[in-house]
Amino acid sequence: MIAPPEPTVAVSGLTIHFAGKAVLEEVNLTLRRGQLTVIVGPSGSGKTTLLRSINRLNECFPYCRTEGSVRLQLDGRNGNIYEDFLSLAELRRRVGMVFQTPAVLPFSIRKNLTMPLGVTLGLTGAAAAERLERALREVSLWDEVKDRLNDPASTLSGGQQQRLCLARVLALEPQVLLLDEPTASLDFRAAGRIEELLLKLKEKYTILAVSHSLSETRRLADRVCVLREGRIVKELERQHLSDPAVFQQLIEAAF
Amino acid sequence: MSSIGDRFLASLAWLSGASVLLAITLLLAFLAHRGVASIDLALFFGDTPWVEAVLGRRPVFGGIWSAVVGTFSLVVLSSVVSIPVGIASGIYLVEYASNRWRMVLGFMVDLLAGTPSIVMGLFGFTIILALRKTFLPGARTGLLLAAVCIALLILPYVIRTTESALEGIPDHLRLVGPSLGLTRWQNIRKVLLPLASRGVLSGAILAIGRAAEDTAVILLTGVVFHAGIPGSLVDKFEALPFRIYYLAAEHRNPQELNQGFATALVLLLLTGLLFLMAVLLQRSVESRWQTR
Repeated sequence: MIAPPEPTVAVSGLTIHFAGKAVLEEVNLTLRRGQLTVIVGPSGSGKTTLLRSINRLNECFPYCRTEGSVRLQLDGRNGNIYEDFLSLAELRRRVGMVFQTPAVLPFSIRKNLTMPLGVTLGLTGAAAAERLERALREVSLWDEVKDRLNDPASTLSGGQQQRLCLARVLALEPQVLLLDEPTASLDFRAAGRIEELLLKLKEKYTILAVSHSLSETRRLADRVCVLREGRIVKELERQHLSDPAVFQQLIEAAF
Repeated sequence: MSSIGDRFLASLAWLSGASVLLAITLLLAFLAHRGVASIDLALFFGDTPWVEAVLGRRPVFGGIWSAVVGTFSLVVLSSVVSIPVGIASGIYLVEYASNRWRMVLGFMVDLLAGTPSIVMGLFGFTIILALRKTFLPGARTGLLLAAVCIALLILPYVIRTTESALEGIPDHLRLVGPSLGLTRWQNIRKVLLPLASRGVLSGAILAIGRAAEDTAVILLTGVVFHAGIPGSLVDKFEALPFRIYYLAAEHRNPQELNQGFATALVLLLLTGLLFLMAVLLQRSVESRWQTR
């Protein structure tokens, strides 16, 4: 057996308070490249907060206090993101996030991708166009939209919009992807396409996802963390997921 | 039972909508009936040949041309001051201010919105008095002072509409910018303002309308009946609402009264034109935002 690679993300002793109320308590978690980790848990258990702690997005909300550390392994460098390891802007580019509701901006399809490239990396013209095409191909959207890049992004279907959001993140060349129930607002077929995509993407990226659907979790996850009342109460590895009945039992016991 | 209530409320809503339409139609019809016949070159330019008047070569005495120019300059000047400041204040209140500051400043904005325009006029007048007694003995009321006072008057409309437009942006769109690595200002500039631009426009339109119609402020800050076209920012000026007020109160014959109605129509058209300019401006900005 080969030694597991260095974790890309190592969360340790993470406690997060909102307005004095603990939402996460003493959470420890490691994420590795090539591995898709799924967080499940009842509503209000802190899943989204855990996700947002890895790109420091919790700080966009008032009265948030974070303790503990989140160490990130980036191009041979390693540091705590809560201790000026990276600028906030670079951190959020390197740790991309996709939300539950497809959050396309009311711009053209093209501008949805090129605006962040231009604003955060100063990429315009051919360089931006090249990244745009690469990202859209990566999410298998290129053939569907290549002739209508100037149409409003809102004219795309829900599934296409969500893939566009994923492409927008990938265009910034992240290393970690945070996915907050990325298929929750989609129909069965569109959700299926996103799942296929994630299975492909996990080879290249470190992925942490939140899911409400146990069957989806079983199809996607290499590892499952059950979160309850702000604590990780159970961690399941791939081998526990193969038998649906056993998995169901384990999850139910944990909830 | 509830279906009766539903129907009652629905008809009430229809009725309210219809009464707005009816009121506007009646108003326009009445104005048109009394005023259209008096709209001609003489209304605008009196005895002066219009080319000479428009080019500013000869002063206009009997007509409303100077008032049209006066009102137009007043609206443009006060909008140039209050719309950027109002948008910036709205952004501050929603995006930067702490809850406490927001409450305090919000209350002040409401207070400003509730200030009667005559008080704003008095405020401007007092400023001039104070300046005359201190370091600017030559200070007098004029276009700039009136525009600043009007700007104060319309500022709360712009602030409040900007605020509510920004607040109306759902969380999942508000977080997109930061999650992609945009700084707070980049997010405001590139994501939030484009999303709020229609709401901001409606505030600008309200403000323009209010600036064009106000009479009380300018009465005390520099409007004069025969001022002619102001040559500089500190000159006295004429304005359409004041002209209307004057004609309605002091007309010597029915023709002059009809000229008053015609002037009201011109004021409406001018305001409409300004609205149109605001809409076109917003559209062009929006389409640039959407694609580039």
